[in-house]
Amino acid sequence: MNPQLSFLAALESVDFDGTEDAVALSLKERVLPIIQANATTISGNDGLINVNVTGHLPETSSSNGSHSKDGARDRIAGGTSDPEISLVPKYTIANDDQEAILTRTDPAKVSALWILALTAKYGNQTADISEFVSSANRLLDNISGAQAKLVPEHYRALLYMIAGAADALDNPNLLLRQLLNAALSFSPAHDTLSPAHALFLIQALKAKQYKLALQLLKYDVDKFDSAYALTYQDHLRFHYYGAMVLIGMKQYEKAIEYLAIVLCAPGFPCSMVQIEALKKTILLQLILYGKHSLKLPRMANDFTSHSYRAFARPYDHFAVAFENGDPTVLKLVWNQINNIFSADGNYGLGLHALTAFRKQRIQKLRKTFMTVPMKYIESNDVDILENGPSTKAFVLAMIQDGDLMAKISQKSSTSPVIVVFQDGSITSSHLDALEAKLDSVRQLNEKIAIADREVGQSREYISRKLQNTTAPGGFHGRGSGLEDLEGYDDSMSMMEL
Amino acid sequence: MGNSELGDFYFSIGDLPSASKYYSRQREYCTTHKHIEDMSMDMIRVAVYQQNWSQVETAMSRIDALPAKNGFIDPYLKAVRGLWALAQADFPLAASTFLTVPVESLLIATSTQYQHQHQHHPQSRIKPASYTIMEFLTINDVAVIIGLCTLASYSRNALKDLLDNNANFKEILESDAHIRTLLDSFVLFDYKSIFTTLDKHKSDYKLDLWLADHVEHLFDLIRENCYTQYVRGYKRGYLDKMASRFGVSQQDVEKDLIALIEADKVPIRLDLENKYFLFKSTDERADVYDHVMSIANTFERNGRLLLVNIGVLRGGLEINSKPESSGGFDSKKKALT
Repeated sequence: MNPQLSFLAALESVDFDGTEDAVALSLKERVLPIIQANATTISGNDGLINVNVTGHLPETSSSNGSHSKDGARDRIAGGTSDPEISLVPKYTIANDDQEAILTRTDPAKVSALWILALTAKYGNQTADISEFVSSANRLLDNISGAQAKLVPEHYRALLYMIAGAADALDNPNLLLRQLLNAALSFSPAHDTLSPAHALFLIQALKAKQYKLALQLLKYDVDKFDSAYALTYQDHLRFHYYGAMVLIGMKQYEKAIEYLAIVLCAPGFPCSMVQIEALKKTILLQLILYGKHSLKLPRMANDFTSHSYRAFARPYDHFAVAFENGDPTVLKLVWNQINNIFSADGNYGLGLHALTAFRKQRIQKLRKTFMTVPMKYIESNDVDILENGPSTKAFVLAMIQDGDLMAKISQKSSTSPVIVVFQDGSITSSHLDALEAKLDSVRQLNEKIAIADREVGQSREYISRKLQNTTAPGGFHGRGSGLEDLEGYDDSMSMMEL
Repeated sequence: MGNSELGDFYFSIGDLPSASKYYSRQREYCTTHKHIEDMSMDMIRVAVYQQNWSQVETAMSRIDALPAKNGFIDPYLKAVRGLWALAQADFPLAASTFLTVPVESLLIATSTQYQHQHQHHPQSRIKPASYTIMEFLTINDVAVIIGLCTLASYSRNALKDLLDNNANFKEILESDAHIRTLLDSFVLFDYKSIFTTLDKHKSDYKLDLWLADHVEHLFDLIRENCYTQYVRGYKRGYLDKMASRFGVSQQDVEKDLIALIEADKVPIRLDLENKYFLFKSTDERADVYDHVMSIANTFERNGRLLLVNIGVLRGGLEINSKPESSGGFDSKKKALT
């Protein structure tokens, strides 16, 4: 029997009106085995576009540094010292099957087959990029996440081929929305990490499409599975690049949360991404709070946290000078180490920190004064780089940006300018924010309870718990483990491990 | 015993390091509590002369550890403890310690009586002209130390209570009238006269063996305490009036108040346009709101971290030093699922 007809015939038997998961299951059981039987096994990186992580990453938009195309200041986090992880599909489908899929099927219905077909047809370096882009566009606009999970290696390869095409055409906006769609459609709740997540953020950063990137970041990702062709680098990079997008949009608090996830990632040894994350965390803490914390979050690995510190010493020096409050010392330290910031891609963030230093000196006056003449502020104002606006313009900008709760007052054109500080009060918007926060905490609490229960019922936890409670001289329950577990004990929780 | 007498000899000729050395050698020959007490007292005496306060502290703690103490040395030890606290610039402790020194022990006649009692004690060694507070301090010195330290650290109410109810302190104060005047001025809010009196006696304080190093610090603390007491009573106060009450310029008052506000010592804010200060009222509602949001944010942050880490561990995405091979990606479901 013609193998081509047999897979098309098998397609006829799939009920495409069912749920996405049902369709995926049908494809997995009836169609994919036929296609895989005709496929050619791949050994090594034979004939496929390099699917390793490549390319350079620009700083965030807040940088004042130049972005040369060859990336003089650019730096990819995790690409220099972390081991390169190469994920290449194990097989490529037959040419006849490729053509049949691309010409006779609808990508909206058989996303998995299209993924296989596109990676097979356009995987070599001489492929027609424009044709590939057009086909990929058709696929990603209607891709099914459940079907993408059936062929995770090929899916990952396809995504990197798209990124490679964007680099080749020097157009990071290429298929950017489609990549976003691919990332969001991977799971209905948008909470599962896919190979598209980190890749989309890289491309969005290159294209400076921060608002578009925020559409992905508004969903918290807390489900991970290495079976979806993922590595630890995907997790770290997603959160690191996510933090960079948030920094670009000046959402510094959320950026610190993302960086904390990177810093607290379990495992050994530490990754270069974590070191870069620490550097940014230190600068963000200075910008937000005027001080940095010497301690990493409690969940961070003690051993790796010592490594971070060794690499981030210049940042610690800068932070100490910042907290000291002496502008002369800070200027001296800045002149000594700003080249290190620049090499790390943190020059822009460093400049923000210096601006924050100036702002915080003015904000501190609110604690001491109710009204203060502008002349007094001018006498205490410090512009480290001496290229910023005048004190009056700076204070006005702070008031307009909401960084300073104050008004400017001048009784007449000849009388001195007075800054009048105002006290905030609780309004209905505060109460709304409080309600929203309580809702969010409630939902998080429920999620934690569910995760706690799932982990508590897992095989590894139970076996470890049984080992811990073994009486001396004997082990009770080995071999009778799970089948005796009727009536799961709710008091057992992962917290007790 | 030989060590002790050698120590006495070197002490009498003024060779304090040698005296300390021989007194400390006595330690290994001490067999009773009394020996330890005597040895420690010798060490304390030499250490006070040397102003070696760490040795003073060690010797005092050795005596404190004894199960039974000689009651006659108690006032002496209190005075030495007060000197030790003064040397550490712990002025509240110095004041409270010196206040417990009985006035009788500060008078010559009583110290002689103590010596006679000491002679009749069957197990004691006779120590002529030792263990007397008069060796280091006169009653005047104690009055000055207590006066300045209480001015620097006590609130008006606490000082008033001291003056009214502490008979021992009242007797000590009789030896130095200007200290009494200072304290009365503080109670009566006459700050100008406090600073005038202090300035007048500043050179005397600087010549005092124990106070010399602390005079400037004490004066600063006294000024701070006076400012704090002054603003406490006002909801709104004018800087020019305050300046005249303190006998200083308005600019000095502004500068001092700014320093105090920045150090969180006074709960006021300044209006430099209209030249007054206003008591900082607390908005409890805003404080509660901030506190609740802070707790919620912390919970969210830690909760998210926990969820993500659980997910990472269950999904097998923890950091490891062995990258996946390029020949293929084998799914590694961990035993967690």
